[in-house]
Amino acid sequence: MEKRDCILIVDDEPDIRRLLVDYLVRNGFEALAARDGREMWQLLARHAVDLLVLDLMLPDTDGLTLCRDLRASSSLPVIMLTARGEEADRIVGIEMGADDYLVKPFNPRELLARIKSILRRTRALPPNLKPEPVRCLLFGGWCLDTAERLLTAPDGVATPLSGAEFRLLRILLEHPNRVLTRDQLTELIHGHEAEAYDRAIDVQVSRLRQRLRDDSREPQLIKTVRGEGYVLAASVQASDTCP
Amino acid sequence: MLQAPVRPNWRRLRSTLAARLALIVLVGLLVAQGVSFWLQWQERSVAVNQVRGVNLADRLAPAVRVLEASPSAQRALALAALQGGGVQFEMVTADQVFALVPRGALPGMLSARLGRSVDIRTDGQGRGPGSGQARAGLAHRLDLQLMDGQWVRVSLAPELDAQAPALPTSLLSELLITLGLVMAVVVLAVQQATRPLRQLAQAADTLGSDLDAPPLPEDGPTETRHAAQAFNRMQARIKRLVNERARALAAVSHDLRTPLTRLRLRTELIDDERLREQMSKDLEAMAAMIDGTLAYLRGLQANEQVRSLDINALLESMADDARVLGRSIQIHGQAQQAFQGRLTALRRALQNLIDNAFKYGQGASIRVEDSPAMLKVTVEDSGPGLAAAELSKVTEPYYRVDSARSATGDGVGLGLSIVKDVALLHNGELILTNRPQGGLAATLLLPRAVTPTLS
Repeated sequence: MEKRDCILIVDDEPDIRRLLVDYLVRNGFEALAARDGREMWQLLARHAVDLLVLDLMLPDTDGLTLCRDLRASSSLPVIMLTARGEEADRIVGIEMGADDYLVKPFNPRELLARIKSILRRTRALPPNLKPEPVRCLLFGGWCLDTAERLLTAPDGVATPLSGAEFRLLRILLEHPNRVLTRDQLTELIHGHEAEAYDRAIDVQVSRLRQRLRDDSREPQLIKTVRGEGYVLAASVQASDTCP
Repeated sequence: MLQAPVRPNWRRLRSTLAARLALIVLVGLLVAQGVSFWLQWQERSVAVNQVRGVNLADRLAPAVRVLEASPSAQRALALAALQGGGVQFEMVTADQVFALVPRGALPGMLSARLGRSVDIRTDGQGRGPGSGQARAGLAHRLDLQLMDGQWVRVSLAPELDAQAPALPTSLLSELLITLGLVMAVVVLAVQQATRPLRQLAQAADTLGSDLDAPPLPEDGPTETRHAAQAFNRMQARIKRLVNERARALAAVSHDLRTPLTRLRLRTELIDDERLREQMSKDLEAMAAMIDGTLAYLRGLQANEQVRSLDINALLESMADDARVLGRSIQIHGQAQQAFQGRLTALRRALQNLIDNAFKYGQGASIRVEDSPAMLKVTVEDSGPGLAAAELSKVTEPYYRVDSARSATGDGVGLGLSIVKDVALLHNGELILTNRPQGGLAATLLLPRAVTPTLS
């Protein structure tokens, strides 16, 4: 019996706390709940928490400040909850170091999927290579804004990405110059084992190359490694904003 | 003269206040000019008549004297000697004499010069010399009775009795120039006077699309100032009302999120899977309504920056995301170059069109037509389309088609009004048409030539 992942929920609504704890426990997690920032810090000190679900509106401090303070000392993954569906809030949340962002009323199953996906991403790598949450990634003149999920070309043209394209590109950028196999990519993106001969990844790579204006016969950015997988051949820098 | 430039415009021109004012002033001016002209003309006629009459009397009096002084035997000679200078004399017998007594000053003047009353008759052609009524080429004739009862007929050559000298052209052109100058001044003045009204109309138009438009300048004449002040007060009131309404609606929508979240979590406790799915569907629909309402209330992010967009990437990424949900979308054609626009607004507009195509039309097909002047994106479905009466209404906020089309019953009727607003934000338009083969075609016309207004 492997150790269960521990999720800490921070929300000032007692019903939501209780319901979420029940739901997560029923789905194989260990769950704790805090009603405000003070309780959160106490619980974090006493328990090995794997992921934080943080409401943006709290009585004592706002979730953004808590998230920023937490990021100063740890790389604990954070999913933000908010009752405000503003695009700007999401971007600020990601800037403050949140890994993901859900708007109330969210579908509990959606939350479950996001929790699993984030834990996978942070687990898949040895601790020294864990990606720090950053807002923007610069590579070969291109820039990926992870908050806006937007790719900007060297000539400044904004190039929107689909969810699948964005996830694939982000994973490639988080492991520059490392060959990732199709199985690894499928696992990281979809969270399930790749079917034998699953070509979905190949289709997505070729679409992503098209977005990056990368010639599929002579790709410069996403190179194919025969019999192994794909590699992003560029140096990647973190930045706060896209140029 | 106020000449209508072209006929169809005449009605419109006549209906503008400026044209009306100009017309009133012009008619007044013409009447005044006419009256003064007529008076001048009268004066002139009188003067000319006077001069003519005097002239004629001066010529006739000596002739009469000569004739009276010459014995009847020598009268023929005397007559011959008097001929010429446009006047002819001949004897007439009493039965040939004209019947009418002329009016005018001539008989009096002649009598005064001869020192006795003279009997004068005329044939009634014309109204006496200098009246300007003589017909061209027709001699004017008078009969005079000499002292001894002999009648003499005097025929005046037409040139002597022609019309009063024609009006000098200089006078006419002066009149016209005066008229033109006055007209120009009037038009300018009227333009000036009605400008505040035009500004007011423009401000009212702007208010329709932009509540935050700057207030009208409160200057100019008293009436204008008062109108501008009243307008500004009205704008402030409307703004307050709209903002209050938006705030109330936003607060309600926002406060609904927490209980909805609880409900969602509670449905997960239900063991009956069918019931759980149904409740979950209802909750989805409610959440979508809240999101739609809030998105609309937030209004279009007019402050969103305009940037170069890869429209092809935008459409394909949306199609890709739709495929994940098991929907298939075909995209035909592509944009030739980047488009200057607002990403979030355009994405929302296209998403609404695509969602509608799936909700009502079982599938979406996107057609992109690009030219240097205009980018056209058409989203087509193969559903039932819309009744002709609905086509113009569906873009109004909160308007919902209550028919088989909205069997799903979700949405608050804001989707298409958001699309229309996004189109307007980019100086474009949204055109809805029923396709001949069935289904609805929604076309976003996005002009390339002009950069979107930065409001």
